[in-house]
Amino acid sequence: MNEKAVEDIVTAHPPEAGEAEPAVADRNPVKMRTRNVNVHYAEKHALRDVTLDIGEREVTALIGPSGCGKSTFLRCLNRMNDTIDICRVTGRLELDGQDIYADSVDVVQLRASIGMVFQKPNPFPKSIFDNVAYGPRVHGLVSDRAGLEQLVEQSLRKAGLFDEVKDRLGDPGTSLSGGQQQRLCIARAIAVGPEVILMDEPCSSLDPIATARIEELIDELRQNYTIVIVTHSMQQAARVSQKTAFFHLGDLIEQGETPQIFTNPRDEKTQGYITGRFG
Amino acid sequence: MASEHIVSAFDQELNELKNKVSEMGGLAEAQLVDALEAMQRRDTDLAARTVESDRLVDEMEHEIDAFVVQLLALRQPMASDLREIIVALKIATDLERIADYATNVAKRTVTLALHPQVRPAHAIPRMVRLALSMINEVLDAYSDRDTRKAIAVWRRDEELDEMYVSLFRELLTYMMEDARSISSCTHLLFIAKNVERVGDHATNIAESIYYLVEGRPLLLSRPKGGDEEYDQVEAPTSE
Repeated sequence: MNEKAVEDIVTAHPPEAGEAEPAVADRNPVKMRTRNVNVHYAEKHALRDVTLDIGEREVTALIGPSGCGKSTFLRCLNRMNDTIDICRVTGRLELDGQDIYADSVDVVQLRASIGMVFQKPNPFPKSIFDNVAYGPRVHGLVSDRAGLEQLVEQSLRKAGLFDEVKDRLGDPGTSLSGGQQQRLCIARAIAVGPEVILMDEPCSSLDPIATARIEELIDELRQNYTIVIVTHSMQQAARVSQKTAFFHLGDLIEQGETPQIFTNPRDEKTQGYITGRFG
Repeated sequence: MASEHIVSAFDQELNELKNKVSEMGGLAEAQLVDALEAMQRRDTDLAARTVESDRLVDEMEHEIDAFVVQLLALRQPMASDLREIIVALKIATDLERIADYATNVAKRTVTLALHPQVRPAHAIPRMVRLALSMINEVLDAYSDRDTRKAIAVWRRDEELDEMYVSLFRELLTYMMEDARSISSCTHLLFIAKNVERVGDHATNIAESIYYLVEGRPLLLSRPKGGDEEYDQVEAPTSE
């Protein structure tokens, strides 16, 4: 038996975490590029030097324990953090190569391009139709009633809700079930023609069936949209995403292809988190 | 990964799974030990008991299968836990095959005992001992999560292959010299082939251990002993 040969195999190292990084952008072009993003809430350093590429027309899942910075990062992507006075964002965030924090950027327009769906479904206190029609009206996307009706129907169809609500478009959005309300919120985001959809734990208040519907929807939506989802459910991240990024205490610990992260994570912290261990 | 799961019952279950696999390994090893002893002593009673006790290994495999399915369904394991469970399933399959080959050896021992002993029979125990040490070490490697030991076993299969090929030649010569020995020699040949297959399964287990620990497959090509001669005989297509 050749001792040297055994030694060679044992000491052969797997690719380092850093070497895998280009693969993140390999298959799909980069839609959003972030470099050294730091976020402070007053004195608290909530996010440290996050550098992450988000691929076009695929689902990127952000996972990590509570307070790890994943939602903070998500909110940086469409400048939702601007609304918090004590919040300071530094570093570079780009959409299609354009700095989204540049002075010239119209934040309202930016949030139409990068829509958001929240943890709790939050339909406006309006009819189902008006919930979806509101955005296109405000942004002046359609010129006549027929065009608006068509856009509302299209958006509801893309959100997988149209057939369930087509006979009661005048009913209040709040009369729908939780899962339907969430799909209504997705339809509302879609209606203004976004390129990126951010989802902050979109299924956490839904039952398993409604959750499965949303997951199926996410899978369909990624044909046309870039999706970033924050989720506490690792199974959900594994089911819906192509890329996964793991955050811990404000640091981006590891990012990679979802199958790799869930079968063979490179970092001990990732391993500890996804297998349900301390550490 | 040294630290424990937040849900401690999961740790206990993973431990139990590991113990079951090790226990099954012990049973498979014992099958081969008994088969060897039965052959050396031409003890047909022991051979018959060995054939009978293969049932225990089969039962153990079913037990592990069911446990693995249960763990996958209830714990939805990820990363190293997932590999741990999948690898247990694979190793159990290899151990079941190893026990089957040992049982085949025992069965042929019963038949062999009816014929006069032929000289090449002495080479078989050497092969079996080598296969046994491979099983023993690969099971240690599994318990200790020792990839070094696993790779060492994986390399040693070459030696077993060479022993098989040389025994094969020797048996051919015997059969050509004395047609009356053909029956015994053929049984010995099958026995040798079975032992050689045991080695292959031991190397499968070694590969599984490597994957379990490293999270990536052992992709190197394994050296094979005495390939040329062997291939010519294995594929007698157009001479």
